[in-house]
Order: sequence, then C-alpha cells, then structure tokens
Amino acid sequence: MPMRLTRGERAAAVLLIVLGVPLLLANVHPFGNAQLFAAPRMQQVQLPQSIPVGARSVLAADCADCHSSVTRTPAYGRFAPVSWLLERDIVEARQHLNLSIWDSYDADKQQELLAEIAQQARAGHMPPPQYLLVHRGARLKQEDVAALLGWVHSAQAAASTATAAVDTLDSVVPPAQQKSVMHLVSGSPQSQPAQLLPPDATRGADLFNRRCTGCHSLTSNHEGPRLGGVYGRPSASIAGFPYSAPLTAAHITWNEQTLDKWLTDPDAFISGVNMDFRVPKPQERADIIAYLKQAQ
Amino acid sequence: MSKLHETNDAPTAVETKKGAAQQDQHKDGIDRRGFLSCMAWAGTGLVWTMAGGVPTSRVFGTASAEAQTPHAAGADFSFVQISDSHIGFNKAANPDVAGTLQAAIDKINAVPGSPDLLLHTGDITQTARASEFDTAAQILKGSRIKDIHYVPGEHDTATDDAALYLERFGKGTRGLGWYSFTHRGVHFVGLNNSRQVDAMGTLGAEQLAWLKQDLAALTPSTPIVVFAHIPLWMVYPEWGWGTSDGEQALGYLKRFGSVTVLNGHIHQTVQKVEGNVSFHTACSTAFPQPAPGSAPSAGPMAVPAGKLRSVLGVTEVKYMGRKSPLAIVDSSLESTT
Repeated sequence: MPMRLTRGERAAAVLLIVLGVPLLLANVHPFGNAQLFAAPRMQQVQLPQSIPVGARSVLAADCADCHSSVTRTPAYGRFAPVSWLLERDIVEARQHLNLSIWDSYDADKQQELLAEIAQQARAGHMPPPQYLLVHRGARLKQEDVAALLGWVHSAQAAASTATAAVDTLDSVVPPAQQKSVMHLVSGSPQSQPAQLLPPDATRGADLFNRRCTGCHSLTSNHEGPRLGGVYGRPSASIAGFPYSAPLTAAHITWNEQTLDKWLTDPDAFISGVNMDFRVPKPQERADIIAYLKQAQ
Repeated sequence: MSKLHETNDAPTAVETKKGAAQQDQHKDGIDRRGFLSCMAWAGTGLVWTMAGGVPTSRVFGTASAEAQTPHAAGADFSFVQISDSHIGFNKAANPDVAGTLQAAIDKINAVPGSPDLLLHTGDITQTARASEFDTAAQILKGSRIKDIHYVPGEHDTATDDAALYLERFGKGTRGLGWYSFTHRGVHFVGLNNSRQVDAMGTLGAEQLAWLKQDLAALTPSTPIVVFAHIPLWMVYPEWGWGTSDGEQALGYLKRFGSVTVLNGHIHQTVQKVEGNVSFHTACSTAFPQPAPGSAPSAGPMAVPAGKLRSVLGVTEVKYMGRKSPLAIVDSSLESTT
C-alpha cells in the first residue's frame, strides 16, 4: 500500500530535495576548490599593509572577493551550481593576482601586476560583468581608479628610483648592505625588491634586439620612428614621422626618467599615443635606456 | 614582386562581387575572386581543403566562395586559417578586437561541412599579457573545430621572450614554439620566425637544423603545409615583411611536390605561386595594414566607420586531388553566411 503523505510532509520533502541536493552537490568542485567557507567570514577584509591605504580600501571593497584569500562568500554560494560558478572565477582570479600574498611576489612580478592593474582599472574591464550583476556598488568610480593609479605610479616610481639608487649605491655601499638601504628607498619594507644591477648598455643592446626591433631601428623609420639619438632628443621630433597628436603635443625631452615612464606604459604616461608595447621589468628598462643613451 | 602587387589593385568589396562572375579561376588555379574581396580589405580567415595532396582554399562566406565550395567532389579534408587577432589592442583602428575574433569564430562555426583543423598564424595577443591570452583562449574555446594549432607572432613573444606564450599556447612544442604533425597524410610544420632583426623575421640556426631533420624522413610526394607568422618569402623587405633566413627553409622544401606556405603578420592577403610552392598570407581578425609601399610605414590602418569588418577575414583551405588547382579563399567578417 503506497504511503500517503500529508501536504506538510510533501512540502518538507520537496524542500529537502530542492535545498539538500544543491547543498550536497556543492561538496563537489568541478572547477577547483576555492575553500569558500573554510575560514570564518571576515567583517573587514585585511590586505597587506604594504599597499597604501587609499588603494587598499578600494581593493578590499571591490576586488578582494576574487583576488584574495579572504572571499566574503554570500550564503547562496553554499548551493550548486552557483558554488561552481563562483569557484571557477575565484580560483582563476587568485591564480592571476592574490592580494593576500602581495608581499610574496617578487619585484618583477609586482611590477607586471601593477601595470596590469592600471590597465584593467583604466579600461573598466574589472570587476567583470557577472560580479557587477550582484555587487552593483563594486563598479570602480573615477576616484577609485585614481586611487589605484596613484598606487601604481608611486610603486613604479619607487622601483625606478631603486634602480637609480643601486647605481649610486654600488660605488658607496658594499652589496651586502644594499638590501637594507633598498628597503628605505623603495618605501615598501615588506616587499623584497630584486637586486637591480647597474644599467648596462651591452645587455641593453641585446634587449633592444629582442624587444624593440619589430617596430624600431636606430637608423630608419619603421612602424616606430628611428631611435638613434633618441636620448636627449625632444619628443616627436623626427620630421615626417606620423606621430600621434598627444605625443606631438607632449613636448618632453627623452631622458632616464621620461624614457622609463614611457617604457613602463606609454599610454599611462601620455594618454592616447600610438605605441602599444611595454617593458614590465625595471632592470630591462634601465638597460635599454643605457643602450639608447649611447646609440647616437 | 610584380605578381604580388597585382593583388593590391583590388576594387571595393562591392565591385569585387559584381565583377566576380567573369573572374572565375585563372590558369594558375588561384581563386582570385575570393582573395580580392579580402584585399578590398576584408580579412578573417581561410578554409583550406586538401585532396590528394594539393590544398585549395577559400575565404569564408563570400558568395563566390560558397558557389564553388570545394567541399564538393574529392575533397580529402579542409582546414581553416585565422591570424593576427591582437587581443588587447584598443586603439582607433579597432576598439573591439575581441568582438571581431568572436565574429571570425562564428563564421568558422558556420562553415558548411566540418573543417578538421584550425591554424592560428600568430599575434594572438597585442602585448602578451596573461589577461590577453585568457581572453583569446576563452573566445577560441567557442570554436566548433577543437583541433587548433598555433604559432607565435612577435606580439606574443617580444615582451617576455615567449615565456607566457609557450605556457599558454605552445605546450609540447620544441625550442621557442616550433613543431610538426601529420594529419591524414599531410605533413604540417609550425615555425616561429617572430624574432625580428630590423623588423625582418628570423628562424635561427637551431630551428633550421630541426626543420631539415624533420623533413629528411619524408618522401617527396608528401604534401607539406608550413605555417609561420611572418611571411617566409620577401613580400616587402623595406617594411621587414619577410624572413631573412627564409630562403634556407624553402631550400629544404624544394624536393617536395606540393608545398603550401601560410603566413600572417601583414594583415592582408597576398598570394604567389613559385614552382611547387604556393604562398599565402591571411587577413587579420583585428585591423588592416596598408598595402606595401602605400604608406610611409606599416602599422594599424583606421578605416571609415562601418567598413572595418569588410577588411577582416577568415581563410578556408581545401586539400584537393593532386592535379586540381590550389584554391585558397579568404572571406570577410562582414559577408553573409
């Protein structure tokens, strides 16, 4: 004889299935396990103190759910298949950039990530649409972008200063003591700036051939203008070369500082220029600049 | 060089279609209609068909190409070439390169029959950023053709000496991304000539030595398809559109009866047949470049609003019977099908 359930019992059974099955399935992790509920939910997201407070609060509010180990997972994240989608995005996001371990990235990696952060923030690609759908307030406002760019630029400047500082230090401070001085110079006591070598034109020549000669030569204009004598030259000064309007209007002189900023990210230095290539590593930039300085 | 330049007198896309009826196949067997429409700045990709060791190709979606689709008789298989997606590029010449790559993939998914392979001849990304490789991979995942083979362009390699490219798209390849494989009797060779000296591509001694050895065991009747980013032959040395040691590689290929060389880099189609070797460059899925010598320098070319998709393309190649003509057809992203 079939068992007869009351209406209440049926409802309970349906509820059990509707909630219970997704809850159970959430224990399966087809796209990777992001350990979403492993740690107690934080009221305040803690990110490394080495990131300046303005940028840190933007990152904590709008980025840390995916780009840190302290994800504030919403309650519905306990249910599959939502849990799977969350995990897929979060696992991938942490692989790219995990702000919780910012201090353990080496200087080169940090510079690379900084350039990436600046680019993503400026372009408005982050946070992605699926996140904004639920977290409407997370769209980066102008002041948020400014805070992030402020951090990026100061950190890039610090790295360049560090390069120059090592150059100077070499003559006065024994290498063993340089590291402690470097921390002061870079202003970031937790991060480990790579020991930058003094700029070297020979290494620069090799790098020039690996990085630049697709578009530039020293002697003739290609997709980019000829670079012989670029050091010390005013910007956009090769007659007849079709420079972009912003570069033509820039009126800067190419020296260590301007070339370093330019090579770090041309668009961040002067918005709207044509060159779309960057040299993320401070050491490589320093070496290339040393080469250009002597390539007259 | 004169043979090259004839492709540059292309009329506009509309005119090409009108004139296409009389134009059919020339005596050298190249389907000029197809690539003319690409030269009218269409460019997406090429579908190639192999039959009995000779490839024929057509661009996607042109009316002419559909009419004489070589799926018909005797095709052994077909494959598709796309190139120069430049994911990450965001300047005026094309602010939506992801959108145009997606359009190319949509076009590929609509190709009748089912091409076996998809070749991407480099410059997948603009500056080899991880996020750019991700976006490209995401879009390419949508391709109905799952067997995809890549070679790197200088945009994929110049920032970090190909490190990220090799990790993302070059797993299992040799050296800086070269490799070979055989598909249904056709030997495919992917080369990396994206290391540039004064803008010109180079292969280098190590890769050349490998190529020589890779080809050594093959019989002369084996059909060969070589694909690399920068043109292996001298399209326009003034702009670096060639490979300085390409001649040496082509020397190793002389003894083979059917050799097809597929390149990208110059963002327009140029074709040439020299003896047993047919050369073809594909359009970009991102933006066009000026025809050789028609501008002060190479570089992204902005086209009038609404025209962009007519100058981007996909190439379809059909490998047909040994006696049949080479048929390479390029189609624009704009054309219907």
